[in-house]
Amino acid sequence: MVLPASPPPDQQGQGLAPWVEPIAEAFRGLDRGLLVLVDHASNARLGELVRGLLVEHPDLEVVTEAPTLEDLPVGSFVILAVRSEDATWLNLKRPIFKERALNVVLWSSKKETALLGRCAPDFADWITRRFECPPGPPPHAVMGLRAALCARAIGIRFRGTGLDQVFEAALPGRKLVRASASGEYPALLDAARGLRRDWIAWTNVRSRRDIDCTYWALAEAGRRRPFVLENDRLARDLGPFWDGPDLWFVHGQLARLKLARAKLAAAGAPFPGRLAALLGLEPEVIGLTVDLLRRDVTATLLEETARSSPDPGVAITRLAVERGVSSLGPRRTRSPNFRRAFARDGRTQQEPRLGEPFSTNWAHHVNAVHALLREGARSPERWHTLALRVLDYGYTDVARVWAARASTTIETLVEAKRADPAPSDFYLAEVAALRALLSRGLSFVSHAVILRLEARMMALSPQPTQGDWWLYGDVALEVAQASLRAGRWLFAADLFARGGAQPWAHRSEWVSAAFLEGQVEALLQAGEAARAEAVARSALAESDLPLPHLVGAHRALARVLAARGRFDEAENEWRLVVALLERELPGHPTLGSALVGLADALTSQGRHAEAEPVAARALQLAEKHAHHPDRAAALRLLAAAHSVLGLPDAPELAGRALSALREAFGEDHPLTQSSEPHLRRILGDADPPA
Amino acid sequence: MREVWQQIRERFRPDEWNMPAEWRAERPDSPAGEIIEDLELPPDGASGRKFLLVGTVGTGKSTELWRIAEARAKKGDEFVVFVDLVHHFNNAVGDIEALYRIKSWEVCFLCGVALLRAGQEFGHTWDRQKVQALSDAWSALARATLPAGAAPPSIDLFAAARSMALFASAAAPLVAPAAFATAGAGAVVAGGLKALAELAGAGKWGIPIGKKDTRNIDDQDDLMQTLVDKVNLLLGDFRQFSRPVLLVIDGLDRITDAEAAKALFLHSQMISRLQCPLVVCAPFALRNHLAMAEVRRFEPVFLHNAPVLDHENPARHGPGVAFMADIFRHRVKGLGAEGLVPGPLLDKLAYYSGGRSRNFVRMIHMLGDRGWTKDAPAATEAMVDGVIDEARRLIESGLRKEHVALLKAIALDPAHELPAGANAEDLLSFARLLPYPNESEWFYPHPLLLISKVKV
Repeated sequence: MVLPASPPPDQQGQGLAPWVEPIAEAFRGLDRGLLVLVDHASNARLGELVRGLLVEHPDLEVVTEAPTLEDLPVGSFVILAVRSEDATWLNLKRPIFKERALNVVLWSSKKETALLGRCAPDFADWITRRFECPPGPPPHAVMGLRAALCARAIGIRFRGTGLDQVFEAALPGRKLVRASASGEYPALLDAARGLRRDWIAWTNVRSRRDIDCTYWALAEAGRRRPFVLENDRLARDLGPFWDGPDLWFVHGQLARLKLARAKLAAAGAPFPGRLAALLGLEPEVIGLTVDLLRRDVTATLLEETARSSPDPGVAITRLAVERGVSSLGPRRTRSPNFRRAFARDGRTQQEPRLGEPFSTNWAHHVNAVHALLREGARSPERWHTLALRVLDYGYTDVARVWAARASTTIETLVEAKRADPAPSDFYLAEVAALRALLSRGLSFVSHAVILRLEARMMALSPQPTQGDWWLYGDVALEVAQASLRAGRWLFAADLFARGGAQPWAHRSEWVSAAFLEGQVEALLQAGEAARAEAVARSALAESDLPLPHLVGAHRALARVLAARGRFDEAENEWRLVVALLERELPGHPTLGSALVGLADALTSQGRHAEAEPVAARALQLAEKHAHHPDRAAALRLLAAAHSVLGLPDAPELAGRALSALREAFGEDHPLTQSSEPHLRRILGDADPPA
Repeated sequence: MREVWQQIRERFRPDEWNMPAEWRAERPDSPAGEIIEDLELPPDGASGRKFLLVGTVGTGKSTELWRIAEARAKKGDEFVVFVDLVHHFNNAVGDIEALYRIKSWEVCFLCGVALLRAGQEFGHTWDRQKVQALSDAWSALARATLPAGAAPPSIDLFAAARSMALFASAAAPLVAPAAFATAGAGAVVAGGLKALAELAGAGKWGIPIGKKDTRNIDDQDDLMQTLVDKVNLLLGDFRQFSRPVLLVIDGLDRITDAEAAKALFLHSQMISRLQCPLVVCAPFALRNHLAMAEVRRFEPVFLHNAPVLDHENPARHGPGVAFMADIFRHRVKGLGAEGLVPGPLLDKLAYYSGGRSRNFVRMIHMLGDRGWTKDAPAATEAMVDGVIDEARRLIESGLRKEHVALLKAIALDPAHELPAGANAEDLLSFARLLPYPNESEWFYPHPLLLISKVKV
C-alpha cells in the first residue's frame, strides 16, 4: 500500500499551519489587547492553532467559560471557545476585554458565531478581525486510518462524523462509496460488485449478522480491500468494541474541550486547555495524560512530548508505556492510540491481516464461510454447502440466495410478529382551584385595624358641646402638636385629622388651617409623603376656601413637595403663598416664612441667583419681626447663594448663619447639624471630608 | 512605512470610544451639539431637560454621551456625573446580567448613590438623615419586591457609593473659598487637563440589584414615589451649596429586550422624575415606541448612521462618506499618513462601513494589519478588497433566510421604510439594517450585505 507522504514536519510540530499564520500576524506588534474571531471553528483543528500561537505566546491558554476571563491577568493571551450560554455575558462584560488588554481568539463555530451576532451584537461589534478555520478531520482519525491501512487491517470500524474528510486526508484522491449493510444479501452483493478501485463504507451496521453478510458479500464479489464500518451500532449486539472482531477501531471523536480541560486541570496541568488542544482532544490520550500527571510526570514534559510529535497520541502512549503508567495488555492495545503506537513494531498482539481469517472464536463460522467463498471453485455443491452452513447459523436470506444458485428450494421461514400491547391505562391529571384565602384574610385584618382605629379616635375625641369649641379646639391642637413634637407622628396625624374635621376646629380659620398643616407635617414626618400630599391637595380642592385656609393648604402642599424633592412644584406653591400674603395680608408675619420656603426651593434647584434676593427679603422681614427661626434659615440660604455666586461677603454671612441657627434651633437640631459643614466650608475652616 | 501602519493598527480599534479629543471628527449630524446647547436653555419645569439618546449599536452613542458630559463639565454650569452602568455592573456588582433586569427605581437609586459618591469625593458633606432616608426607602421598596418572607439586607450607602466607579466634573462643584477637593480628584483638577475626573471604585457593591424573581411595583405606589423623592432630596441637598447637577447615564442601551426597555422608559416615569437634567442612552428598540408614545419629560434624540449611501441611489456614495474620511484624517494626525489610503479607496471603505464609525474603524485596522504585514508604501485596491471581503464575512453571520428576504424587500422599497415586525427590529439591533437621516428617516441593508447576501 502506497500512502501519500506525511505532512511536512513544520506543520506537524511547532511550525505554523498556513491558516494560522495570519492569525498570529494580527497579534504581532500590538500591546493593548485584541479581539479576533476564528469562525467555522472545528475543535479538530484547535491543536494546530495552539501549536502555531504558542511559539509567540508561551502563556497562551484555552478557556471554555467566558466568565473565567475576569480572573486573568492583564494582557493575557487566550483562546476562548465560544459557548452560546456566554453570549449575554460577553455582550455585557465586553469592557473587560479592553480594560484588561486581553488578547483573545474567539474560537467559534458557525452556529455560535451566528448566535454572537444576534445575542451579543455589541460584543460582536468589537471584534477586530475575522478569520476562518478551514474544515479538517481530527488528526488522530487520519493517523488511525493510515495506520490501519499500513497494518493491512481486514476492516476498520469508524466512529464519528466526517469519515469523508478523514478518508480524503488519509488517502487523497481515492473514492469512498457507501452502502447500507441493512439490506438483503443480494443488495449487499450488488454494492460489493459495483466497486472498482473504490473503497466501501458500510452504513447501518446494526448486528454481527450485518458484518458477516457484508464480509461474505465482499468475498463473493472478489473484493480484497479493507472495508469500513461507519458508525456501526454493534455495541448493543456485541458488547464493548475491544471484545469484538479483529477490526481496527478508528474514531473521529473528540473529547469535550470543557471536560478534557477540567480533567487535566484536576490532575494538575497548569494550562489544561492548551494541553488538551495539543493532545488533539483524543479522548484516550487525555485519559492517559491524566494518569501520567498523577504519576508526577510534569506538564512541561507532556506538552513538549505532544508538541514535538506529528502524532501526539502516539508520543504520549509510548511515554505512558515507558513510564509504566500503562501496560500493553490485549484489551488496552486494541484502543486506537495503542494500535497506532505499537501495531507496526510487533510489541502488541498481532492482529490478522487482510486476507487472513478472523482470529476470534466467535467468528469461526464467518471464517469458515469466508474460506469456502474464497477458495476453490464455486460449484453447485459448494453453494449447497454454503447455503446449508449459513442456514444452520440462521442466515435464511443468504441461504436462500446461495441455495438458489444450487437450485435448491429453501422453505421460507415465517416470523411471528408481536403485537404491540395497547396502553392499558390513561390517567387524567386533576387540577385543583385554589382560593385567595390570604387576600380575604388581609381584608379582615385591615377592617379590624380600621375598627380599632375608629374606636381609639372616638375615645380620644369625644364630641364637645358648642360652648366648649374654643377650649376643645385649642386643646386638641396642642395635644396634636405635642404628639408631633414627641415623635408620635401617625398618632398626631390622626389627632390633627380628627380635630380638623370637628366643628370646633373652625372657631378660627387660622386654627383650622393649623390642623391641616399639622396633619400634613405629621404625615410627612411619619414618612407618609404621598398621603400628606393627598391631604393637602384634597384641602385645596374645596371651593371657596377662606384665605387662611387657602394659604395654609398651599403652604402645606409646598412643604410636602419640597420634602418629596419636587422643588419645582414646591416653588410654584410658595410663589402662590407669597402672592396671596402680599396681596391679601401685606405685612403678615408668615410672609417671611413663605419667602424662606421659596428661597429654599430655588436653592435646592441650584438657582442661586434667583434665590438670593428672595432670601435677602426674607431676612429683612425676619429681622423686622424678630422671628429667629426664619432669620436663621434666611441667613443660611443667603450664605449658600452668595457662596455659589462667588460674592465676597459669603463667609461673613456663613458666620452669621451658623450663630443664628445655633441660637434659633440649638446645636443638635438637624438643620443646624446638616448646615454646619457647608457653612464652615464657606467660612474656610472646614475639616477635610471623611 | 511599517511604523506608520503599526500606529494605524493601534489607533483604529473598534473597542475604543474614549479617545483624545483631537482624534475625534466632528460629525455633521451630531446630536451632542444640540443637546449641549439645549442644556444651556432654562429648564422647562425645574426638573431639568431630559434627553434619551437613541441609536443602534456602533453609531457612537457612548462617544456622543462623553462629548456632552465633557462639554458641559468644561462649561462648568453643572456638576456633571457620568455613570457607566455597564462598568458598574461589571466591576462593582460583578453580575452583568443583572443589568438586563434592572428596574426603573433601581436606576434612580443608582443615580442617588452615584451622586453621593461624586459629592463626597468633591467635598460635599451629606445630610446623614437624607442619606438614611434613601437607605430606608430602598429597604422598604426592596422588601416589597421580594417574595413573601424574604428580607433585604441592611445596607451602607456610603460603602456602596465608594464601590462605584464614575466620572465627575474635575472642577470642584463647590464655589467656596476653601480648597476641599480630595487628593484623587484634586490631582486631576490641579492638572487642568481633563474636564471629567475618573473616580475609581473601591470594593464590591453589596446591595442587591437587578435580582431575579422580584415583583414589579407600580410607579404610583408610595414606596416607588418615596424612593425617587429621596434621591431628589439628595439632589436638592447637594445643590443648596453647589452647582446644579447633570446626570449622564450610559449603559441602558445594552438592554436589548424590548419589554425590559419599555418597562424602564415607557411604562415607568421613575427615571424621568429625577429632578435634574439627564442624558440617558436608550436602546434603539424603543425607537418606534418613542416616536409614537408620549414619553413624558424625555426628549428622544436619534443617532443615525452617517449617510454614506445616497438616498436616491444607494449604490452611489452619499454625503456621509466625507465624514468617515474625516474620521481617518483626524485619527492619523501627526503620522503623516493622510495619503496612505488613496482617496477613492478610503471612500470605498467609508461606503462599505455603512456609516457606522465602528465598522469603519475596524476596516482601517484590518487594512493596517495588511499594510503592516506587507510593509506596503500605500494601501492598494487588492488590500482594500481583502478588507471588505473579511468585513463582509463577519457581518453575514447570523442572517437567516427571512432576514435576507426582508432586507431585500426594504432595499427594493423606493421609500426604504422600516417594516413592522420582530425581524426588522432584530436586523436593526444587529446593525444589519441601518437607519439613515434625511428629511425623514430611511433604512437600508448594510452595504456589505449587498455584495453577496442581498442582491438587488
